[in-house]
Amino acid sequence: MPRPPSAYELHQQQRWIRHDAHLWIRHDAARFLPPGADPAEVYPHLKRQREAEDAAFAAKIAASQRVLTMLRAEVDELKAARARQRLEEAKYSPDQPRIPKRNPGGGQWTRIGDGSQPPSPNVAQPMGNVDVGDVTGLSELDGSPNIREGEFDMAARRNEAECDLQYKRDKLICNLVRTPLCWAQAAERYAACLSGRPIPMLRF
Amino acid sequence: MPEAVRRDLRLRSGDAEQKVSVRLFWPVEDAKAWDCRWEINWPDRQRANSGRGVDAIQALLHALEMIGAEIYSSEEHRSGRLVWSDGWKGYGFPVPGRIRDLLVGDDAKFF
Repeated sequence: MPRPPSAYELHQQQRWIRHDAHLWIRHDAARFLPPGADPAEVYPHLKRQREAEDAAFAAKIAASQRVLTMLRAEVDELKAARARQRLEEAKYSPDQPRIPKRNPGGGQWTRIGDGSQPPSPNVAQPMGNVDVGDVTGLSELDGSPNIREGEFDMAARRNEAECDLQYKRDKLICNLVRTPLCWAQAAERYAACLSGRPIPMLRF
Repeated sequence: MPEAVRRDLRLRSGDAEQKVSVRLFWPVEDAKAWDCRWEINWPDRQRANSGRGVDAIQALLHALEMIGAEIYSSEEHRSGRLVWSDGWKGYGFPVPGRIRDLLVGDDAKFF
């Protein structure tokens, strides 16, 4: 059983040991202690160091969890936006007419005004088409060789929405990376997307 | 948020002209980066987004480049009806390097 150091021994230790001797404690100091002794009890600095390391590790984990929470929220938001976009683009319409039951092909989707037969009065009319009248006289469409009627199409709008979504995703990454290179590439990718060019990888 | 600068482009439709205003806002710092908001008010739609960067200058530069990319990718530009000033061929906005070949007129010469 180890005995506690006497006052004389403590004095000698203080006299001959450097003030910063704790910096030179070997990593395997436990080998030189009696079996079962805790190095942290013999060298109090080791205990403080371990506590500091534990605190730093805990802080790192907490920071990672905060980042993960933020990422999850952003991903959920992106998923919701994508779902909304898909819903808008979906071809399914509950207003599309069906052939009434007990008729041949009853329950099947049908079209109205395809020239083959007059629409049945039992068939619900779709709500999608709105008559906007004659658009040929609109000044918007005058004298433009490249723009024709109907060419302000949804494809361009959809492309813009996709590029916005891509930029939003890039922002999410660059917010974490925080380098000038990342932001420059995000702007490049946005421009490439809008102009229909191949989109470069986001490297940072 | 105060509007910093504004440029009005013109969209020619036959004899008439419509205004296309480009608005740029002051860069502001949020928790993660600097954010410089911009808006383009086309006659039939509004486009808005923000350039971002590690400092205000980078955010401002990216906002200007994104505006340039929007304009040069637009149908209005392709139709040849969009103009800025009679004394300048182009719109006076830079674009990112990847689409610099799209620049026309004085834009191609000076940007």
